[in-house]
Amino acid sequence: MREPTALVATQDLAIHFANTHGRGNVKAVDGVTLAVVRGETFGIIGESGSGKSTLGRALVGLQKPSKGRVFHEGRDLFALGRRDLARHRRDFPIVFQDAAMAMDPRMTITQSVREPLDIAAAMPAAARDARVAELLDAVGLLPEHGARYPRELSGGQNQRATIARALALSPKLILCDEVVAPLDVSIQADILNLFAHLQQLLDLTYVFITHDLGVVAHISDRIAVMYLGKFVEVAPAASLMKAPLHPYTQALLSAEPDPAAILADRRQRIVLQGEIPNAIAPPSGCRFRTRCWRATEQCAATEPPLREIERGRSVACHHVDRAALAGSGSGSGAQPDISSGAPGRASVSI
Amino acid sequence: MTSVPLLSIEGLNVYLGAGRREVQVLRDLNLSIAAGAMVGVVGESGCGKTMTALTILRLLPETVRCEGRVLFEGNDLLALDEPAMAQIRGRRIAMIFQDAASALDPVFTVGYQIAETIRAHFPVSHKEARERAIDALDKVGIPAPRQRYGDHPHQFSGGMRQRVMIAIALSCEPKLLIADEPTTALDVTVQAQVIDLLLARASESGTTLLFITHDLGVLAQACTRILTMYAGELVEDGAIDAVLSQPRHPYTAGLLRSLPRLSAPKTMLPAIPGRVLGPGEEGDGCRFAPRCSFALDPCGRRQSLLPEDHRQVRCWRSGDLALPGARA
Repeated sequence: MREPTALVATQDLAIHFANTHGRGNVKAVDGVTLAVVRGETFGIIGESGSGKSTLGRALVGLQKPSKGRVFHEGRDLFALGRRDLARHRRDFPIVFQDAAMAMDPRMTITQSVREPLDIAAAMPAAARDARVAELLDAVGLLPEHGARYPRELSGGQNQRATIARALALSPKLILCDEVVAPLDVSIQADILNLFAHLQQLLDLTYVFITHDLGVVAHISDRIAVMYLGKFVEVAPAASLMKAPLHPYTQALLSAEPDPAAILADRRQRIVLQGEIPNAIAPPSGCRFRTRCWRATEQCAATEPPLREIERGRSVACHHVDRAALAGSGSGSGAQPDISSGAPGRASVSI
Repeated sequence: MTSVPLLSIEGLNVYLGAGRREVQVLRDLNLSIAAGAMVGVVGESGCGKTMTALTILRLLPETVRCEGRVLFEGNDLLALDEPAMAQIRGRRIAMIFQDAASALDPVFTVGYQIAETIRAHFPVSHKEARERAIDALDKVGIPAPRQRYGDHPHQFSGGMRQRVMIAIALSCEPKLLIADEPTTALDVTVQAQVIDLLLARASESGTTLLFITHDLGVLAQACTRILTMYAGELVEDGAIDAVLSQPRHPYTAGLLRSLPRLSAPKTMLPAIPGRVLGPGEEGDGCRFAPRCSFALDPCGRRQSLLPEDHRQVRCWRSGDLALPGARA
């Protein structure tokens, strides 16, 4: 599956954790194959417990897979020795959700941003200060911010500082894990703009993990929808938003509170029943079937594979909404067909 | 139009801190809410949304100083003594907090915590309180409520814990329910369930809802009227459809514009530059002016909340601005 051009790729990746409270393993990630191309933003969306953060950690070599492999530019990441892996990870930094927590409270911003340069000893000590100044400027911080401590900066400024630190060693890919979740919308917009600007400037590749559909749709080129350890749909961002094909994606899109859509039509909402099942014993067959209004006996018996439906679009569902796919060209297919659904599985609010 | 509003706040100023360190956190707040209304409050963190809720319930620290009146069912809550206030809290006005996990006591069963609330306000036996608590769990959609009565909070998922909070809040059939970011910690599909439940239960029991959120989308789903707060002040107050489609205050318009969902993908989002004035930071004029791209000379002077066609706006320029709203 992996293409020669892929910067990061996985093949049938699985990560299982031992369950300390009883029998069975927690199947956090259970068979994910993906390829992230250089220069793109690959968004992964899912609810808590879907395995998106665990997958992210494996992509940058922080989590050893139980099965399957991770490739960086064609090289098997976990076949590398310890030292090589550590050095290799420098090209793949992470920006976390809580920026204030990700910074050492006893270090100034300059010290924190400089730390990767010091550890890597990539350049003469004298040149490092100039590099830090350059980095702070690139993320929109003023030189005087460098002398301050994380507690003296706002949430948005701290997030800029962690981005500067991630950029320090000229990375190839940045893993962004819920980077704007705790920020107010106006600050969130600032940070998203910064990510977009840096990508153009430095030719960066992002893997953007979030639970926020609006954010992922705005920033991503391609989006993978994750549910209970598996991808259920992978598609270019625009087509996914216009015509979601998997019932779970459709429910996510309709549950996402969007003021404009709500004003336009308050009735078209799918409200799923129940919550994401336990990853220790996922449902047989399709993992989404317990909350799906289209589920049939076939869905309990056999697991739908992730199939390519259209160039660049894959869905794992036995009952792909062909009407929505046909409508994707005209732009009118965004509303899922709710009337044909089995009653009791999902309710449509009025 | 009902003659007497359920809640009316008149000229409220709230100060925190003692002596010279005193800062003003709410400024000149005036609003009234009719019985049965579904009112939403939006604004960034630090705008005074939660302060307003805590002032209504008198849950502020000792060092607080309040001016003005908070009239609820004809009584000024700010003038009541503590025992009288305790009769209102939980019974007439209930509140749901953002983090259900820390609002529930981990060492008591959820059933006990609901029954405790009921027994605090009604002269009923333990057995009767237990039955009412089980009924309350049933009404918020907890499966097998009789069995779940004896479970502890950690045995419930996040969405289920927030359902339990709703059960506690509505167990005494309050007239006013204040929900402070009740779904922020939840996943979107669970959030949709909880909002639906909250609205259904509130309208069934005729409870008035004051819904605090920073999420305009959630608010659009839940409310019919929207209050925008900025830096301790109410800046816009109007019907939800009107405000979202045609905001009159530049701050409301800025909030709407900065939502990623409403912009073309991969373009620059129109962010609101700068940050909210802190509570201690004084300014002579409009508190939003430093961040407002429409600010002109008059904005250096204070403006009050003025009525203009079916809504109220605190902006010198609202009359001559045509601000973009939410459009699908």
